[in-house]
Amino acid sequence: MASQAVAVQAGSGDASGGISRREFLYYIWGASIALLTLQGAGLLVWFLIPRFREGEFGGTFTLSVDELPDINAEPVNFADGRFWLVNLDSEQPNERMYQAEDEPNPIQGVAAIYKVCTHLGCIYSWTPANNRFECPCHGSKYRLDGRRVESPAPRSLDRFSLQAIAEDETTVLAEAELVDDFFSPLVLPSGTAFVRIDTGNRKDGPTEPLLCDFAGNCP
Amino acid sequence: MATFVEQVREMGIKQAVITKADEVVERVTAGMTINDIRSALRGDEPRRPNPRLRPHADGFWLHIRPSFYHTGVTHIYPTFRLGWMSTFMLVWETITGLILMVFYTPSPLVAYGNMWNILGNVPLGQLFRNMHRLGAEVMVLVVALHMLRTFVTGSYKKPRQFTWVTGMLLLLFTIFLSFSGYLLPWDQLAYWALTVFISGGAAAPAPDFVNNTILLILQGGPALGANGLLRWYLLHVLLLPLLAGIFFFVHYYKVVLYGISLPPGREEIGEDTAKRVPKDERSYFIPDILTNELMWSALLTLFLVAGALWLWDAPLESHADPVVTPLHVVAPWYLSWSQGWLKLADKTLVVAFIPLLLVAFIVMPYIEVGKSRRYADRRVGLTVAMLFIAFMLVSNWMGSPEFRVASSPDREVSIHMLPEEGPGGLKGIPFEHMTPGNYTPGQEIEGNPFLTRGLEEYEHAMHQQSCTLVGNEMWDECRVETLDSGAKRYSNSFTSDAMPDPFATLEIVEIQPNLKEMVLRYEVVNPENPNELLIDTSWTSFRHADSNYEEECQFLNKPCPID
Repeated sequence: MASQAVAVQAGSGDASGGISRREFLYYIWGASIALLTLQGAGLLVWFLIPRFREGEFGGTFTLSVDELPDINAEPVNFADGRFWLVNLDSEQPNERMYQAEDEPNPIQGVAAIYKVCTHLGCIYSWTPANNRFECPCHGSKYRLDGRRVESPAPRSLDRFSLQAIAEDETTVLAEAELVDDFFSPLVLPSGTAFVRIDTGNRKDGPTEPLLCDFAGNCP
Repeated sequence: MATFVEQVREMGIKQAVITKADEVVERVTAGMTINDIRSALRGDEPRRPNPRLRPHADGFWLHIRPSFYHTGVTHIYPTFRLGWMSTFMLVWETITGLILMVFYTPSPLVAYGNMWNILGNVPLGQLFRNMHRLGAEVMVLVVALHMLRTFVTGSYKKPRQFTWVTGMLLLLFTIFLSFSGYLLPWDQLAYWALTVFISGGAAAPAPDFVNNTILLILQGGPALGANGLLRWYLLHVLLLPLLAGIFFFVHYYKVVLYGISLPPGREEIGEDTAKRVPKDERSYFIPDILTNELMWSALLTLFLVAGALWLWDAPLESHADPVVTPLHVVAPWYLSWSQGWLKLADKTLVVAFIPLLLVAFIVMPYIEVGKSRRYADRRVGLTVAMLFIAFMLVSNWMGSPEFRVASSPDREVSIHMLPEEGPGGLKGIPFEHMTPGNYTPGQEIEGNPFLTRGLEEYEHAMHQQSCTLVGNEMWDECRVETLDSGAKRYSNSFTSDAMPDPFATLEIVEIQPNLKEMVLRYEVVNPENPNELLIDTSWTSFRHADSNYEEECQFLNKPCPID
């Protein structure tokens, strides 16, 4: 009752008569509750982000060069680290690896390719009869080096950082170079005994034209 | 009020018990005595004041239900009972789901084992799982049809726009509920369907860090694992049912508030007479509507139990394997359209289109503001709706297994002969008839009809696939010649002198006691250089003496090619 009396005195019961102190404080109060709720929502998102170590599924892998595939041979699968190892040389082309029209420089060296399709996260596999990677989910196809042959993949396959290690298992002889923020294949220098793949350091594949466009056989 | 003992003294034990029982019934029903119930069931006129209205006024359970309906909405048309069925399905899923929860732990270590325990060990476990899964699919269908009906009869028009909005949210929750439950069995189907779905969610037209955060939150880590399973489990059993429950009551409150809209032809254009029911058009909840609903409950229960028992089995594939995607992955049928769209357009476009479509649906009643609900006056709207339905049907068809991604012919033959999942093909051969050795397609094995039948099927599969490499630039033409002996020569991937093709072989090896290996091997020789193998691939499947695939065929009601 008392509050009504105050309101009547302050605004004479007319809502257009300006904001009373009580009304103003209610708005401030309401605004702080809204702000608190927003903060709560932000905290919830922060809280929901899972805690894990980068590259949790793999970590760093050191493999002997004996485990590498031959040049332009079928890729070697490392399920633990979720990558394929490929050994490329477009100077010795075969049906698995060749140089496309828009590739001025030869593609040579070893690369570690992430096993997950860039489309919707399925695990593609090597299809020997067709000499390329094929994804069972939506039919993306990739050349041996991970470049897109057929869509719907939005980009070529991702790669991991790769180092050439000497016999002593510590000296780094060479490292995959970053060109346009993507790891190029690494030509192993002589004396390389091991390769080290860091699955915590992955770079997204580039968005190059589809290879089937050059062959004119896109579906 | 006399105590019970006093009543016994007064009227004898029998009469006292009857009086007491009547009192209890009246309290439980919030106002109806035994005689009132019997009179309602007999179909008599109610006494005055009408005791059949009291449960609505004084009781908790019926206070949200109207005490009478307009006779115009109590027939099959115009509601088709779809709204009521959706509610029934929500209750059905809650009950069967709670029962299944007793035997389920959301951990990748045990979830899949739990499934087999439910299927093979828990009494009626398989029935309950089938009923829950079947119910989930039926619920999506029923809710979608309910929305369609509401649109077609124009019932979403003023003043029921907001009811439609809550209905759209309920449709969304239904689909999410159904799909979130998909992951829980932790089999290959579950794992890869969810992986694709989550990756789709993270393909939103937004900056990379937003999409990466969405992906991490939905997966619970860099890939679906223990955290992800727990998250989806909690979504499935807590958050989504809670949201669906809350919005169900908002929805139903609005339905009662405005009444169920009459068939469009039964009222004047622009009128809404659903709440002005003339005395002679009233159909009372007790007993007519109540008994009608009980009948529909019985029918639906019968359908769901019979379906779960005899017509359909919930699938369960092999244990989820995060590093192997099976060859033929398909979306659940109610998301098949999105699978179809993904074949047409870029994923970001598809992912951006879906929420736009949702918004379009939500605002529809605020756009279609014409006063008339009559079909003749809504030709444009109904035409657009029919075109949309046709578009969705075509999209669904495009996403169906009919248009699945085909692999190379050798893999297609292999997967036909030795499926990745379940029984079929050569797996139907009884273990003791799997004689170790090398066999060619179509070969006849003396005294072993099972293996002979299997090799016959192998030859048939080769026939179907042997000319499919025509598109391959290495073999530009598929030639089939008939040799003097009558055998056929296929000149392409599966080049051979004649069928049976010597370059496709089945090898059976006993690698351990009670464990045999079946290898399908394919070798293709370069036509120009017979010493060079162009293709040398194989497909391996292991078979244990206790695998019992030939029995599983019958257990799972699946056709076994070899019997």
